Parts: sequence; structure tokens; C-alpha cells
Amino acid sequence: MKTVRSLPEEKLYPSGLTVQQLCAWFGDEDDGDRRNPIFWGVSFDVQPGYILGVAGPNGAGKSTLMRCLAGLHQQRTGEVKINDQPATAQRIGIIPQAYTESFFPWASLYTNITMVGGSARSRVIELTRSLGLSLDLGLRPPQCSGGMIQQAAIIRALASNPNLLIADEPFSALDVRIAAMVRRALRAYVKDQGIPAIIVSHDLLSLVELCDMVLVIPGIPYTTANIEGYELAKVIQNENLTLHVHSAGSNGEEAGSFIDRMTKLLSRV
Amino acid sequence: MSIYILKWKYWRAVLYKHPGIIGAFCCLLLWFVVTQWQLVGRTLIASPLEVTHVVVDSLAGRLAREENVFIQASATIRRVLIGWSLSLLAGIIIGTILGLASTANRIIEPVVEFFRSIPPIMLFPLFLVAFNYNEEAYIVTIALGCIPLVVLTVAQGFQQVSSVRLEILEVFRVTKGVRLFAQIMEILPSCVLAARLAFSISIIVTVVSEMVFTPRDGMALGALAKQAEMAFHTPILIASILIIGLFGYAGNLGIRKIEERLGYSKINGILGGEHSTLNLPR
Repeated sequence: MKTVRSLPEEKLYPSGLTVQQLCAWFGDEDDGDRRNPIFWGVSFDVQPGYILGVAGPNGAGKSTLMRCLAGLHQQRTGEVKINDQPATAQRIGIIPQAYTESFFPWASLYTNITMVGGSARSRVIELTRSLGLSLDLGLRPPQCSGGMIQQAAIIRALASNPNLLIADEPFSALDVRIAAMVRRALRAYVKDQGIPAIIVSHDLLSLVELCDMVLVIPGIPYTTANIEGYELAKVIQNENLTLHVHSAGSNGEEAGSFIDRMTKLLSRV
Repeated sequence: MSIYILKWKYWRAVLYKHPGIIGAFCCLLLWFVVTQWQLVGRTLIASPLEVTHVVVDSLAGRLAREENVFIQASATIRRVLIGWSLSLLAGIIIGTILGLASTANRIIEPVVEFFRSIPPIMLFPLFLVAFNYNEEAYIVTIALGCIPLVVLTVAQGFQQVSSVRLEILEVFRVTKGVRLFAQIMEILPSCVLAARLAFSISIIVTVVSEMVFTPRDGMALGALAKQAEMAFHTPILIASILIIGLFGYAGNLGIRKIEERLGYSKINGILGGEHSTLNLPR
């Protein structure tokens, strides 16, 4: 007799990424050192199959936000959940900013990908083809250019079949043609697999092209007085993209001009 | 081929590839000049010819066992290799434990540092008594002389593993086995460095301990060199020095060759990284 087994509810309706009141700070203090905040009270959701772009000026805490989501930044409070489960229990595919250093120099690109991503050879080849890349995976990192290693980092992140994809400046070393190709392939992958993705980039055009929504983090001055005013200030929405702007009470001019440029880009799209 | 060896072009190519030959030749020439013109007394430095006689006679077996530099050297080399191997084995294991467990590191590091600052030869009399003046006393002295150095070098290797790569292993939730394997591969250069440093120290400790106390069987190059020095038999003394120097040089060269052979490209091949089929055409 056949038994019909129902899938767990979270499998049927994955809720994507939920970030609640995430705070991060510098220093050794375990419980919210407000003297040295990086960002404070950041909350957002990313639905499965959606891509959130994160933008902001240098030092705003974009990379730290990525590290918090990956569980690497210890000085943090708040909640990070993937499909209603703690993020620490989920598979996360990460494309780090220091992509070159993230590869083991003694192993080939292929070994790096399979050792960390745990994928079969056929899967790696399939991914390489689907991203439209031409890469000799038998080479070792010291024999490769920055662009080649970054391509391998993208394959490695996807090869692990992640529940969440995190990419910190994933196109910084790619030439324009390959970057455009990978952007399209990445978007198709995320939509196809139905996983949430977060991408940090200074290239606003690539964010507009790739993302469904963009979170702008303005750099906050490191004073306690400004922390309380750090909240979701406005949401700019158009046909293609939603722009979530997080703002401090007295966010600097840099952040303001950043948002202006983003808004102009949106109006052009 | 035999004619080609006589040509200057051949030697120029050899010297270009191995410029160290020039340095060795200059030393030999200086030695020859000093002894030929007796710039230093004959009792202090024997001529290259006298030393060659000792070497040839030892090889031919014309010298008695007690004076045969090669028979004596074989015993010394055996002690060096056993002591060095034991120190590597113990040092790498302890260094790995210290490198992986920070608490253990904090507990044991002061002890290791303490023993590192003690000259091993000072412990030798203790081991002689403990091991009843047997061979084991030499082996333990050599091993203990090298272990602190190997331990610290390997433990430091773990501390120098890239934090970015460790984070990648953490984020991708790799198994403990894969993590350990990756860390060991990362510290492999430190292990080879420790092996080279320990090799030199093990030769020094062996020869000095042999000079301090002659082993029961009388087989020791250090003891032979000391006797030759006391008897002003400089050809044997210099032949002993040359043999131990050549052994040390050959050992270091061998470790470097192993380092190249076991280099990352070879390891990569073993792991299955060299897949030409992965070179995908566009």
C-alpha cells in the first residue's frame, strides 16, 4: 500500500530570509557595545527567488552585514532566519569580498569548489556551462587571474546548493561582458532555485539590473546619539525595483548623494 | 658525450645552473694554497691530499674500524636519522594539537618555550644515567633537542592559516574531517621548514653528545674527531668534518627536493584536481 507523505510546511512555503533588529558593533563587548556601532536595528525580509541589493558609502557596514548574515561577525544581536530556521543551521553560499584569499593555493579551482561546496564533478561542469564561463578548473589559484578566481568563487557558492546566496562585490574583477553574462545567469539561478539572495555592490547599475530591491545603508557617525534615529526612512518603488533607504537621524552628505544617484538611476530604468 | 664534457660551453652551462660549485671550488683552492705554502701550521690543517688519502683508505677498508671515518660516520648518521624522525613525529603531533586547541596551547606553550631555551647537551648527562649509558640516551637527547622547535614551528603554522579561508570552511559547513585536512595542507610548508631546521640541530646535538661521551661500542664520528684532535691526527679530523658537512648538505638538499616533489602541484594531482576535461570550450 502506498503511503502519501506530506512535506513539512516550511518546505512547501519557504519564507526566505528574515532579518530582525540586527545590530553590529566593534569591540570585544558581548552585549551591544553602543559606543562603537557599525549599524543598528536593521530589519528586512527577502522572499524566496528575490534578490536584495545592498548599497551605501564606504564604511557603512555593508560587508559587516554580509558577515553577520553568514554568522561570521560575533559582535551582533538580532535575529537572522532562513526559511524560519536559524541561519546557522542552513546552507549558505558566499562569494566573499576577499575572493582571492578565500581559495586554498595548494588545490586546483576544481578541488577548491568540490572540497568546500561538496558537489559532484558533473554538477560543477553543469554550473560552469550554465553561467556561460570558460574556465580551466584544473589550474591552481596562483596560476589564475583575479577574474578567473572570482568566476570560480561564484561557481563554488552555487555548487553548495545554498538556501541563501550572499555575494560581496561579486563582479568587481570581471570584465563588462562576462559580468553582464554572469548577472543574467545569477538572476536566472535565483529565480529557478527559489532561494533568497543578497548582493553588495558599489556598481549601482549592476544592482539596478540584477536586484528586485535595494537596501541603502548610509554610514552612521560613531556616536550613541545617532543610533536611536537609525530606521527605515523611505521606500522608493517603481515598476522594476524597490529601494529601501535606511537612514540615520543625521546621515552624512555622502549617503544623501548616494541615494540621489540611485533614485536617478531608477528613474532612467 | 665524453668530448662534449671537455668543452667550455658545457661547463659554462653547468656553472650557470649550479653557481655553488664556484664557491666550493674557491674554498678548495684556498685550502690548497694555505697548506701548500704552509700559511698555517701542518699540525692545525692537513693538506687536501692527506685528507684524500684518509678518505680513500677508509673506503678501501685499509684503515682499522676505530679509524675508519665511514664506519664511524654510519653510526652517527643512524643516530641523527632516528632522533630526527622521532622528533618530527612527536613534534608534528604535539604542534598540531597545540595549533588546533588554543587552551592546550596556552597551557603547554610555556613548558615548550622553557625546554627550547635549555641546550639539549645539558640534559645529556641526565639521560646517560637514566638509560644506563646506552644508545637510547643519544636518541632521546637528539629528539628532545629538536621537539620544541618542531612543535613551535608547526603550532605557529596553524596560527598563520588565513582567517578568510577558515571562515569559508565555516560558512560552507564542511565536515570536521575536511576542515582538518585543509588545515594540515595549509601547514605543510611549516612542517617542511621544521624538518629542515630540526635536521641541522639533530646533527649538532649528535656530534656534540658523541664528543662528550663515547658510546659503549665506540662507534661515533664525534668521538673519532675528538680523539684525532687530541692526537694531532688532523687528516682524520678534517675528513670527519667534511663527511658530516656533506651529510648535512645532502640532507638539506634532499628535504628541499621532497618539498618540491610533494609540492602543491603534485598534491593537487593526487586530490584529482588535474582534470583537463574541465577546460571547457566556450
